[in-house]
Amino acid sequence: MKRALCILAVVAVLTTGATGQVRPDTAGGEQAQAKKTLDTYCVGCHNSRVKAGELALDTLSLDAVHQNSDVWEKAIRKLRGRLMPPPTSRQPDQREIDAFVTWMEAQLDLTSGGPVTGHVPAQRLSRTEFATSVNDLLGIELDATQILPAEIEVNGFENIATALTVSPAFLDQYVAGARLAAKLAVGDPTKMTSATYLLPPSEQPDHVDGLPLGTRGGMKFRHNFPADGEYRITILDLGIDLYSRVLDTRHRVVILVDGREVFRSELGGTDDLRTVDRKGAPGRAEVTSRFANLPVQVKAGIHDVAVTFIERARVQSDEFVGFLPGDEFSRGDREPRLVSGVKVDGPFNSTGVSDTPSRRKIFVCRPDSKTPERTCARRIAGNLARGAFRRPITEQDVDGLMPFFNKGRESSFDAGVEQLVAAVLVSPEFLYRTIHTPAAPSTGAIRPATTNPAGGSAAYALTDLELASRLSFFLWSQGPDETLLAIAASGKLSALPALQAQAQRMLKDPRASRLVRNFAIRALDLDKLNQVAPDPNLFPTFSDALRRDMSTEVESFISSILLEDRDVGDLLTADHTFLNDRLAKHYGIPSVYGPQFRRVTLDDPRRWGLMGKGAVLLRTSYGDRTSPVLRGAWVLGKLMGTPPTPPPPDVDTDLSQPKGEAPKTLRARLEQHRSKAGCNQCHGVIDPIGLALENFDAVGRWRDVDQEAKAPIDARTVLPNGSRVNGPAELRDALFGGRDLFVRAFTEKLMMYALGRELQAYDMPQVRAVVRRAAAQDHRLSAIVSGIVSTDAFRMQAPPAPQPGVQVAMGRLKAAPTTGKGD
Amino acid sequence: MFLPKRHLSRRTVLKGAGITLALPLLDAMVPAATALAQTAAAPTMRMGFFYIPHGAIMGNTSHGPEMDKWTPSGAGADFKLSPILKSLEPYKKYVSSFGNLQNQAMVGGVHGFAPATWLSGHRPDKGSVGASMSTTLDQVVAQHIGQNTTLPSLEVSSETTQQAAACSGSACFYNTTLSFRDAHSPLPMEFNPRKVFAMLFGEGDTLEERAAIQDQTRSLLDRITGNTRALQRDLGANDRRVLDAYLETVREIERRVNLASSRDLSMITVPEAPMGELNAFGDQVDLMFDLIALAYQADLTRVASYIMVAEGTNRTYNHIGVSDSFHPVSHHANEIGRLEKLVKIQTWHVERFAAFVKKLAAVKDGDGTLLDHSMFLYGSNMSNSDKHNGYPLPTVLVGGGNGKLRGSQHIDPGQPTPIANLHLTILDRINARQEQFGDSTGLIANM
Repeated sequence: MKRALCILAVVAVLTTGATGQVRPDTAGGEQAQAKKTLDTYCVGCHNSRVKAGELALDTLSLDAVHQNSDVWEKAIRKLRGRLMPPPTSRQPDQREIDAFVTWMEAQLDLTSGGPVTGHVPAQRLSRTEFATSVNDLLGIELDATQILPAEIEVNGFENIATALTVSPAFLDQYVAGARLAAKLAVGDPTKMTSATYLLPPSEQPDHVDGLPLGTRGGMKFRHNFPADGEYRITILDLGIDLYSRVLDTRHRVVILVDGREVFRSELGGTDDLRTVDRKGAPGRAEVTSRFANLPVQVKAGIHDVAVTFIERARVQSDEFVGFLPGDEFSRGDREPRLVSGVKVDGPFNSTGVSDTPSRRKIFVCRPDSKTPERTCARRIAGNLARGAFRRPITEQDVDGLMPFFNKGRESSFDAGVEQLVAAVLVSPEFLYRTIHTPAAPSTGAIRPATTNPAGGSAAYALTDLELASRLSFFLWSQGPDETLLAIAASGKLSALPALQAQAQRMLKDPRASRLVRNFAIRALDLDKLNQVAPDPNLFPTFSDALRRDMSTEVESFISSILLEDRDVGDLLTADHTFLNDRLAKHYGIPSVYGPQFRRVTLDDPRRWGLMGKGAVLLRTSYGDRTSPVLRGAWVLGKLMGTPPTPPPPDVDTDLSQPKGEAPKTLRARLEQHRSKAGCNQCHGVIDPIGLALENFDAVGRWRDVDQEAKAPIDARTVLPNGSRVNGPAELRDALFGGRDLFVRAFTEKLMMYALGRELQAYDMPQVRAVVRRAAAQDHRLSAIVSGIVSTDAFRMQAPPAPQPGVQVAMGRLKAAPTTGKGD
Repeated sequence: MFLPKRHLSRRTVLKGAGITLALPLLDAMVPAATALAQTAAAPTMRMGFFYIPHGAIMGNTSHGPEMDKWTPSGAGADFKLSPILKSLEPYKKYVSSFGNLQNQAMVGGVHGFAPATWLSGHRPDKGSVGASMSTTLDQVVAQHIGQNTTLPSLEVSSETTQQAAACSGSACFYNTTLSFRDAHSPLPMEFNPRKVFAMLFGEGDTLEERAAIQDQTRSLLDRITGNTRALQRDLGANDRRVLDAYLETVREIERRVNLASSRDLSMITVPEAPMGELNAFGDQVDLMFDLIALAYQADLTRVASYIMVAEGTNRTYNHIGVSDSFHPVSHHANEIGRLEKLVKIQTWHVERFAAFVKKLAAVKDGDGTLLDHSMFLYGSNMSNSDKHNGYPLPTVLVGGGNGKLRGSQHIDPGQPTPIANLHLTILDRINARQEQFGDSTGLIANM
C-alpha cells in the first residue's frame, strides 16, 4: 500500500513536472471506465490463473501504467487492429475500444520518466549504404548486389545495427570491392577488363524504352570504360537456332554509344542462310562471329551502350503473319534477337585516361610547376577522406594515407592516387558509424555530449557530426554532403531549427529517392517479387517483364506520393498510378500505348492506392491461387501496424479442393476452416480483410468470377469492428477512412529505419507525438521526417543495456530531459 | 562484374547448360606432379554438408509406414535404398543412412531455426539482441582440416535464403544460413556463382599479378587493423567488442592471404567465370555442385556447406511436373496427391546430389577417388513438413571417409537420439574428438 502511495505521489509530481500543468483527474471517470473495459473483456482470459498468452492483466495497476509500458503498448496495438478480444469472445464496440486506447495512450505519454532513447551499437555500412556512398564520393555506379554478400534483414530492413555482422566472406569482398571502385574511378589504361551484361529473362519487346524510335528489341546498359582506347563488343547470341528462320530476311544490327552509332552491319539474307543451311553449327558460329569482338573507340568514363536492330517495315518481308506449329523447334522466331547478352572487353591500345566525372571528383588538383606532387597528393587525400570519414580531417589522417600513394607512385601519379582511393575506402572510419560515450569524447567530435545532469548513466546527446551521419544515412543512404558536413563541423547542426532545415533541404534533393527503394519498398515487403512464380499454365499472360513492370509501377507510385511531399495517407487512396502498355493491358485499362511509363488517372476507385497495385496483389498470392490470409496479414502488418501472431507449427493449411467434390470458391474453403474455434481466433480477423480483396486474382487482375468453382466472387465481409464492406473500395474506406492508423504504422517503420534499431515501448510516446504534429501539416513526409529528427530517440543515445549482475538506475524517476519531446 | 585480366584468350571455356566439367580437363588442371596432389600415405578428408528444407516423406504421416519413401533398411548385402534415395544406388557401399535422429533445437521455431540448428544442435536465445547460436559443425571441421586451404570453408546456396515464410520473429538470423563461426557470427550463403568463383580463384592471371594484389591487400588489411585500434580508443566497452569481432575477421583474412601467397596456383588452368545465376533451377543447383567439386579438386577448400533449396521457398518444380510452390505444398495435410508431389521433389533433390557424388567418384585422388576420401552429410532438419517437427530426421552420410565409414547400412540407435551425436561421431572420424557437441549425449556406434 505504501508503495502504491509512493508511486501515486511520484506520478502526480511527474504529471506536473513534465507538462507544466496539472492534468485532469485521471483517477476518476476515464480510468474507472478503462478498468471496467479491462475487467469485462480481457481479464477473463488474461488473468494470473489462466494466463492466456502468458499475460496476466488483473495484477497490473492502472494507476501506474508506465511500470508495465511494454505490456500496455502491446495491448493497445492488438486493440487497434481488433486482433483482441479474439472474434470468438465478446466484442466491445468500437467506441469503447477507442476510449480505452485514447486514455491508455495519454497515460503512457504522460508518465514517461523512463528512457527516452535506446542504444545503437557501432554499426558498419550495409552493402547498399556502401555502394551508395562510394558512388556519391567517386562518381561511379557500383551495384551493391554484385560486390557484397546479402545482408540479414530485420523487418525487411538491411540497415539494423545489430544484424550488421562481419564475416570473412564480407571482408574479402569488401576489400576487393574497394580496390575495384578505386580502379574504376581513377581509370587505368594498363589493365584489361571484361564485363558481361545479361539480358533480363523475357521475350524481346518490340521497342525497348529509351532506345531510338525505329529500333527493334535489343538491350541497353551503362558501362564504365576505364580508359580511352579500343573496346571490343561481343554479342553473345543472336537467336540463330536449329532451323534458322531468323536468317530468312536481312536485318541490320547497330551498336550505339551514348546515342551515337558506332557499328552497323547486316545479318541474314540469302548468303547467311546458305552458310547455315549447308554448314550447320560451324556455319552458325561463322555468322555469329561477325558480331564478336567488334572494335569501338571510346573515351574513358561511364557511357550508355545500346545494341539493337533496325526496325524494318513488315511489308518488306514475306514472313507469315502468324506462328506455325513446329515453331517449338526454333523458338518461333522470325527475326534475330538478343538472347543472352553482350560482353565488353578492353581497353586495347589505350591512349590514356581523359577526364571523366569521377576523375574530376577525385583530382581536385593536378601536380604542376606551382604544385609539387606531394602537396597535390595530400590535397587529394584530404578531400577524399573528409567526405569518406564524414568529419574534418587532420594532418595525421593524411599522413596515414600517404604511404599508399607512395607505393602506387612507383608506377605513375594516377596509380598513386588509385592506391589512395582504395586505402580511404577500406578505412574503418568509412565503414563504421559509431556514437561516442560521454566518458570518451570522439575524435573530431564537434560539441562533446553534455550528459543529463541528473546522473551518469542517463541518455546523452549525439555530437553534431554524429547527427549529420545519422541524418544523411536516413534520408540518402549515404554520408553527408559538403553542405551538411560544413554546418555540422561548425557546431551549428544540433540546434533544432538548423537540423530541421537540413532535413527539409535533403528531402528536396534527388538523393532522397533512395527512401523509396531502401525504406518504403522494403517496409511493404515488395522487394522480392521474384519469389512468387505464377503457374504459366494458369496465368499464361504473366511474364518476368510484367513482374518488372509491376515493380516499376509501385516504385513510381510511392515516389509520386513521398517525393512530391503529399499526405502519406494518399498511398492508400490516391487515384493515379503509372503504367506502360503491357501493364495497362494486363489490368484491362484501355488507351495506354508504348513501352514507356506514364502517369494515368484511374477511373475505377477499386484500384486506387496500394491495395490495387499488382506488386502487392502478386506478393500476397501463391503461384496457383490468391491467398486472402496472406493479404489480410499484409494489410494488418504493413498498413495498420498491427500484425497477427504467426500460426502454430502443426496447423492444417490445406485448402486444395478435395477430390470428388464440386469445386468450391476459396472463400467457402476458408470459411470451412474458420468453423474451428482455435482457427477462428486469428483468422476471424485476418480473413475478412483478404476476402474483401478476392476480386483481384493472383496476378492482380480484376475478376468477377472464380474460374475454378465457376461461381461469382463474393467480396462482402464483416470486419471485426462490425463494419460491413463489399470489395476493395469499401474496405479501404472502412479501415483507412481516418488516416491516423496508417500514418502511425508508417511513422513507426520510418523511425525504425532512421534509428537502425527496433522500437521499444519507450519510443512509442515520441512516435505518437510525431504523428500528432504531422497531422497539423496533412501528414506530409516532410512533417513526419521533421518530427522524427526532432525526437530524443533520434538525437540522443542511451548507454547499452546493463550486463547481468550489475545494477544501474535507469533514471526512471528523474525528470525528463529539458530538450523535451516536443508537443 | 569486372574481372581484370591481361590475357583474355588464355582461358578454357566451360560450356553447356550450367557448367559441365569435362573430367580430363580437370585432370589437366591439377597435374599429379604439383604439391596439390595427394600423397598416398595420408589423403586429406573432404567434408560437405548438403541441406534440404521441409523434411521428407517418412513413416510419420497419417498413412504410417507404407507411405515412408525415405527410410532405407538392412545392411551389407541386404541394404536396400528407398525410392527417394534410389539415385544413390551405384554408390550404395558409400551410403550410411540414419534412423531415430532428432533435433530438439529446431522445435517450436517452425522454419525459423531449422537451417542454423541443423549443424549446431543449439537452440537460439530468442531474447538476445543480435544473433545467439554456437559454432556449427562445418566451422568446427574447418578449424581442424580447413586451415591449409585458401578457403577454410565454402558456404553457398542455390537461391536467396531470405524467404518471408521462413523468418521467425523480426530478425532473420537462423533461417538464412547453415554456418555460424561463433555464437554471434553468421556466415552468408553465397548464391551468385560468379561471386563464388571469385572467392575461389581470386583475381590475377599471372604470378606477378597475384603477388601484387596480395601485397596490396596486405597493406590495406594492415591499415584496417591500425585504424580500427585507434577508433576503438574512443568507444565504450560494447562498441570496442563489436570492433574486436571485426579485427578477428581481419586477422582471418590476413591468414588466408598469407596462405594463398605461399601456394603455387599457376599450375591450375582457371576456367571462364560463370556469368551469374542461371534461370533454370536445375542448372543453377548443378552449377553450385560443380563449383564445389572444382574447389575440392583444386584443393581450394576441403569443407563445403550448401543450402540446396532455401527454407520456406516458394519455388515451383515445373520441370518435374509439379507446378505447386514448394513451401505451400509441403503443408501436405496428409493428402495423398501432395505427398506424392513431395516425394517427386525430394527424389529430384537427391538426384542432383547423386550426380555430384558420381562426379567425385570418378576423380582420382591419391590411391583412390575423391569420394573415398570424403564424408558428405545430406539431409533435412525437419521431418514431417506439415508438423514442422524435428524427429525423425531424414539423414544420410555418403563417402568413404578415408576408410573410416562402414557404409552400406541403415543405422538405427533404437531410441530417439540427438543428431548432435552424429556430429560428434563425424568429429571423431577426423580425430577432433570432443566431450560434447550441441545437445549430444554420446557417439553413434557402428558407423
